[in-house]
Amino acid sequence: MTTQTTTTVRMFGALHTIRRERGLEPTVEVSIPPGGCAACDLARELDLPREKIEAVFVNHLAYSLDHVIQPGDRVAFVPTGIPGPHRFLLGIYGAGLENKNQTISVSSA
Amino acid sequence: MTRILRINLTRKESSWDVIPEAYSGMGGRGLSSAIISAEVPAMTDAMGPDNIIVLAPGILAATTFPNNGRLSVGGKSPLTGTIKEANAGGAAAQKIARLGIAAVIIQGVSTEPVTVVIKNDEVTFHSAASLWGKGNFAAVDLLKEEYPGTALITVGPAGEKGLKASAIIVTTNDYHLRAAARGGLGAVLGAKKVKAVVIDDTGGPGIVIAEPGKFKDASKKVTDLILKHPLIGGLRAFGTPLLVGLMNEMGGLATKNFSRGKFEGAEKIGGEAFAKVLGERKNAAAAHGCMRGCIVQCSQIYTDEQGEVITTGLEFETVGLAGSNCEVDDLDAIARFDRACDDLGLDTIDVACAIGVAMEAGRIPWGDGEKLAEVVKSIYTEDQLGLLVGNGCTATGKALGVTRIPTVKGQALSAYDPRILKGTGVTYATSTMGADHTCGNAIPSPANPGYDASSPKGQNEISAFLQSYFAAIDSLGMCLFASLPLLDAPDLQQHLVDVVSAKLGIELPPGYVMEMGRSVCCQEREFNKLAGFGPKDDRLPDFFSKERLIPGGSLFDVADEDLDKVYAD
Repeated sequence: MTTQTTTTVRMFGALHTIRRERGLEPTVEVSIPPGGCAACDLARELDLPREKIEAVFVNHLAYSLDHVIQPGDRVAFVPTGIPGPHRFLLGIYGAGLENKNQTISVSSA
Repeated sequence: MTRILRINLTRKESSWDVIPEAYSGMGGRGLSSAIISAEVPAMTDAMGPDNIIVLAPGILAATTFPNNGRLSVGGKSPLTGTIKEANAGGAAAQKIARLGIAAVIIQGVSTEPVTVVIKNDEVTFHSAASLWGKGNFAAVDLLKEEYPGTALITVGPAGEKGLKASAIIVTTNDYHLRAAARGGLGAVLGAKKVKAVVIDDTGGPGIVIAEPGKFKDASKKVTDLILKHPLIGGLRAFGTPLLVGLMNEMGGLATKNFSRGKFEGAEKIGGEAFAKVLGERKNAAAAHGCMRGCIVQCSQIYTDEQGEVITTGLEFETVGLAGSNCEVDDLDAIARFDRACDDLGLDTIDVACAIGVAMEAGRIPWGDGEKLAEVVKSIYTEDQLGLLVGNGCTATGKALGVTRIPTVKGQALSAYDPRILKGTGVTYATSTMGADHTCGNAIPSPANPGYDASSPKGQNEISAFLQSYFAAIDSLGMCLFASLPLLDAPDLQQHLVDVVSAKLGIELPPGYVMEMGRSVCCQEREFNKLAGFGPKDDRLPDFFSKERLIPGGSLFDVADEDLDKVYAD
């Protein structure tokens, strides 16, 4: 990875625990190349277990791990098991809308 | 659950009625709100003799379905003036259900402090003169000796004094305290001079499941899914304070009386720090169940450095509002505040928000963690500031001349800033309960990356969905956290319908859950309308749409027309 702008990466919950168990800080500074890098590549570089990562927050929004992180982005890896009634678009809500032949009018991240 | 127990405090009488047809198949919040709508004049004084308190276990209470022990406590709220349902875990709901009782209705006013004991077909009234004035911890210690093996419902000194942020306390099976906290219902029970209600289910008829085989099969499917869900591991390891780091990262963690969305000390009070403390201290436990049959175990036992229990069940909302929102980065101080609120019988959300407002007024220094519990305890000696915060955030703000008061319909917001979580903001504004995140908290999901919580568009649809869903969950008596995994899998809605259908012995339509929840919300809305509430009351305080959140600059910019659409049809 070419040294470029430093980006702060935070790790929460179980990922925080894993880092601590390894004697590593749960918040680190990394360098992202000018063209960016996929969140999954960054996770691999940090040796985070993929099955323990639910997604990545980049600049306050949630993305899947194929999202490309740009230099200077604000990054946080989110573990599995975060509480909150947040999956409704994939669950009952989405199913209900499908039944009613409606569309979901929520803007994309 | 086939009967209604009516307790008349004025006459010291009780009566048992077969549940009316109109209430058949109802439970929890839905039943409580139906009874209040039928029996309480909407314009009545919430602290007066015409108000009632309803104790209603959910439809699934005391079955083998997981996490079924939430107790709905209802009445007209002295804090908001609206209809109110506040629910808590603990042992009471399951014991009431095993007595065959769908709802206990407490009406009238006693002339002297009283403990009401409900045992099988008998209700007895006992003087509570020696308990009056005692904190909940002391009162529960005495009552559990006198009535071993029972569930206790108590009011603390705050409720006795009629403070409008007063909670009703419910004990767990191991006599830790939980609170039906919101809306000041502790003050209503206190005004009726009830110190305690004792539930003894010895010899009770138990519960009836119409189709046991079908119930068992459907219940197992739901249980298996919940247990496999990663949410459970997260809650067991870190509790709900896990949300502190996430909300701080999003820039939506209530900080310094909602003037900021990020807190420098967040790492010191977040779930990770919380887990570290629990892991190091004697007698502490990271996982604890507040009700029999709990498979989530999100509670904890939080001890001090000597291993003495400070509190149990410390939640994100308390950590956020007593922590970041007061710029306090000391978990022990927050835990002691939580204990003081349990002891006095107070809603930590409203009182912590009130303290944040008092800090803005300069009455308490920002970041002074020791003051949190001290102010609450000063209610014992009727200190003016203590009494003020005990009356909630709105009363405190008005008395101290603060204009930035984070309440809706008189009830304080939780620690999610609505300028970032705009779906939650819509719920705060339009819920029948006043600002209440448990009515529909729309947290953006890693599993749901298409949802932008900060967009002003479409949030009314999401809030409307969530408000109906959680009204249904509250009516089933199900713990909110156990209900969340169901949102991941559409087919499980049918399993949940099957469970209820098998319990009641009636066929239910596939859309039962959402239709029932919507019906509950609409009934509550109608009560509020008769109580004088309208669209003008379904708004957030002005400052959320005028003051840009730091950092990020967000405003709450959901259109008023969208807020009005939540209950438009």
